[in-house]
Amino acid sequence: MLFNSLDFAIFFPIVFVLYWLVSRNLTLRNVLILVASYTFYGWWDWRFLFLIAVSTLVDFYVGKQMYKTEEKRKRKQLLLVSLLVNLGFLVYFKYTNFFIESFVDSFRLFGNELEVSTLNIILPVGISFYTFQTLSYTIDIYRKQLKPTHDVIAFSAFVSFFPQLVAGPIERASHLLPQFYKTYIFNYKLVKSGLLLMAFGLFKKMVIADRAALYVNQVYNNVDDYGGVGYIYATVLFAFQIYCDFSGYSDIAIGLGRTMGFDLMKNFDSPYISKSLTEFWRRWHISLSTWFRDYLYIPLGGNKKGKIRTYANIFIVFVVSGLWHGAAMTFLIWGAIHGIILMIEKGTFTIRKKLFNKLGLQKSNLSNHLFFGFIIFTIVCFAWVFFRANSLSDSFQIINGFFNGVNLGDVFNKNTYLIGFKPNEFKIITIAILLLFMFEYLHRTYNVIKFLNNQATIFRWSFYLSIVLTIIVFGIYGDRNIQEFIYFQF
Amino acid sequence: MKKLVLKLLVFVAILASLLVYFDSFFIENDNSSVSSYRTVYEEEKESVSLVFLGNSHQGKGLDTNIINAKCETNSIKINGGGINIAQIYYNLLETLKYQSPQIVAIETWALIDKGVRYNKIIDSSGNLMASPYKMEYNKRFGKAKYKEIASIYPKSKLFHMFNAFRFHENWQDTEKWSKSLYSKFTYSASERSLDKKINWHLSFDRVKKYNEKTFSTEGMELTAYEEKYINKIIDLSNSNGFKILFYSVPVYRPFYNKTKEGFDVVHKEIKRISKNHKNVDFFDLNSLTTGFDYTCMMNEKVSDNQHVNYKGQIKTSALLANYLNNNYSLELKGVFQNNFLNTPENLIYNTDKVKQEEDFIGSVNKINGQFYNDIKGDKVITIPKHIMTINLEGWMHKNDISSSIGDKIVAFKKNNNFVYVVREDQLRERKAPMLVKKYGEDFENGGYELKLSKKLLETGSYSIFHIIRDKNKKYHMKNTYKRIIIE
Repeated sequence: MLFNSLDFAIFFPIVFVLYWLVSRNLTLRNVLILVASYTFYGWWDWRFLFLIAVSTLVDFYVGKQMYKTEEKRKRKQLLLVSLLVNLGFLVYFKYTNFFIESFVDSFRLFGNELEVSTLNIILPVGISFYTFQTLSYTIDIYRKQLKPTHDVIAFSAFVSFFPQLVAGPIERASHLLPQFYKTYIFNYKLVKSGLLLMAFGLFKKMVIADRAALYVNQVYNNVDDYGGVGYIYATVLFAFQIYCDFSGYSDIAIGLGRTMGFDLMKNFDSPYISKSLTEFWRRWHISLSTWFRDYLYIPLGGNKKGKIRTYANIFIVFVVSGLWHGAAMTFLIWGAIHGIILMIEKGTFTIRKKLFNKLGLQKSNLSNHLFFGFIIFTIVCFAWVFFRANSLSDSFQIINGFFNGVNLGDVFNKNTYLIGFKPNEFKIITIAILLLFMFEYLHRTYNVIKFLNNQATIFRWSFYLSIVLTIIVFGIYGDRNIQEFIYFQF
Repeated sequence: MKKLVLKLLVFVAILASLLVYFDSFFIENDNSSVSSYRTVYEEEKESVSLVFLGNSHQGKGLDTNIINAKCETNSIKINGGGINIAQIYYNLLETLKYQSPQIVAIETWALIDKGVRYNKIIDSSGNLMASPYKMEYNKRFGKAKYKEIASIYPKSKLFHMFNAFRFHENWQDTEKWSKSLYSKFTYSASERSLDKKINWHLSFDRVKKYNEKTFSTEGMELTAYEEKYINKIIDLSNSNGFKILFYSVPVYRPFYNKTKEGFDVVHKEIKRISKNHKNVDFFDLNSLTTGFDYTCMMNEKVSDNQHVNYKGQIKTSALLANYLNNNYSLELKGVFQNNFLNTPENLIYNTDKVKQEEDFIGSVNKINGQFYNDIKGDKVITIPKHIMTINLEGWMHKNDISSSIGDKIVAFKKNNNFVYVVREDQLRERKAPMLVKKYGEDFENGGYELKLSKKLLETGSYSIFHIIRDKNKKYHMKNTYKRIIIE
């Protein structure tokens, strides 16, 4: 079920009302969450519910058994069972074809042609997300950082919690699971702020992301038909598309959770105003970055085993992160680019600091923000080319176009900036993006919601109505089809 | 939670009200199909005695101003290009919410036309096959609209119920949207629904193509699916107490002659239905006229579908009005919202009832270079057979009306069965320095000239009338006492 669908518009109010009717009975409430979550997921394809169920039951059992024993070997074996089951599903459904293709390609490099066909495997929606979420549970128990739950219903609800089931935020058991043991009292203000956040997420998704997709898809799916300026516009728009798509989803998820009394972790924090790539990764897909930090980077040794190992660990984490996003060389390169830039950033930290101090670039002022923000945004956009392109050859063609195919006359050419757009859409998306950034900038220093709450009813209601009407009038839906959230494919 | 649910309900109610209120802002108000439909809402409730329903054949083929003037009644016509009998049924359903007509007249082309959309109506998935002109969106939010939407788009009813959803992207074409909004705020629906591009007749090139073309009658039949909706309309007539008059707008004569067999198949069925139901009547103008000649048809591409031009419209409307006057006693139920009495047609068809206004002066100076002043006695200019065009020059002026060329109308009246009203956009401005010299600056805009194909008029003798519209859109008429004879 998509958040931006009529099905969900009917599903959510029903679940919401039922939820608060049974909220005082913990078991009944968790059963309701579980049923709602399985319905939500099964709406897409009920056959894959068994994957979630198996994953849940295995980790529930493993967690309990692991806690019972102090024997290190047995604990390791149990952890291995959890890893094998969860990562086994993930590898089979997500990476089988990638491995087959890579195997065939590597043979081809040596002049041998292999006649192997790929398998017809459907990638279950959200498998990368719930697998990582449930893995955090068993790993934390293995590390003795968490006690296992004995409530299978609460645990099942935690794994399949519908607001964040298919595209995160990837929650830690230590943060989310205890929330399933608490009863909540209906909090009008909290619910209202949740609904507002949902509306904001829908705005990002339907007005900006899905509109940008019209341009981006047209260029990236027909690379041969366009040139340098078209590639630049498409890549910049993709940067906004993926941000608004994914952060929009996260906003809806967090808002949904809030309407039910749950507190889900922040997943984005204005990443495009970062002044370094390190900062960018502290602000982008925070739940995944911290997951990799805690469950891959630190176990690999983090920064405790010397400079070379630190750089190697960074590189490994980002290559794995790339592959987590998608089973293709393009994602791997995307991850590698980020890994390499981060290594350079870390390696040149002291020199840069001295140099910037001398040049006066270290001060926190607007011009420095803009200067470094622009550089980081350019680097991120460069890497997005690999993330979005349909193939490696397309990526290289686009990058070649950046450097060799830019015709300045195309910059203000209608035929270029209106690719895939109807008249005036370029203006609308530009205004919407500017409004979004203004709002985010303001919200960092000033609580806009609090400001709203202090206003007269008529002003507040006019504002709420304006948001809904803006989505209705300027959103992309209907004839031009509802776009799935990009991160559903991961 | 009660507080939140209550507030949410209020919020949704306000939102829905706003969407309903702004519904008509999202449709193309300058489109004649849309406008024709919206006339239902612009008229005073329960003020209409006669409702005409049909598709484009009726839209192009009938002038309700003529019907109103000749029958002294109030009528509206609702038509959409290519709509079938099911859509006509839904249009009627909506109309009955606002009006209680004495007669509902249904043009039969929707029943005669072939093709799966007309003959089968419902597709294999059980959905109503609607015309591409989207008649369903022109209706107001309500039960009739819901029923129609549900039958066409059963899977996405909510999306199609609100024009704000369905046409939410209209803002992107700002030019089109502003044109629609301008039209909505400037003209009444009945003004907008007037088709002004109808003063052309079929060219000889197209006449030739028509004459050479063969037409199939396969599919020209009244299917059980169509009859099902006719029966639904009959049920409505029984419960609402109106009579049903099926009528046909004449088609191009060669087409009629080549497909008469098909017409007869459908007409025979309609006659059968009419025989079985005392509420149902049938007036077949095609068999009466055996179709119209090329001078009554619009210059359109060669196909099975032809539309009459203004000349055809005058003849159809006059014949139909005569039939209505002879067979029914129509009431004048109320006053039209647009003031039905205030039409050029009402003034011209009822000249004996109109008081001449002394301060409305003017004259027809010359026709095809011949001055009326040069003619002694009866002021008549004859257009001989070999002359194809009428070039007319004249002027008109009414005190206190600084009218532009768009407010001037010239009418040629042969008799009450043929009155040709030259619409505003056919006249051109003419500089008349002599007028200014003689009467003063106020007469600067008085002059006009008109170029008209003679074939758009019937042969015979015509009186020429001047009509002028003031700022309150009220029409004033003056007999010029000049005559023209078309040989």
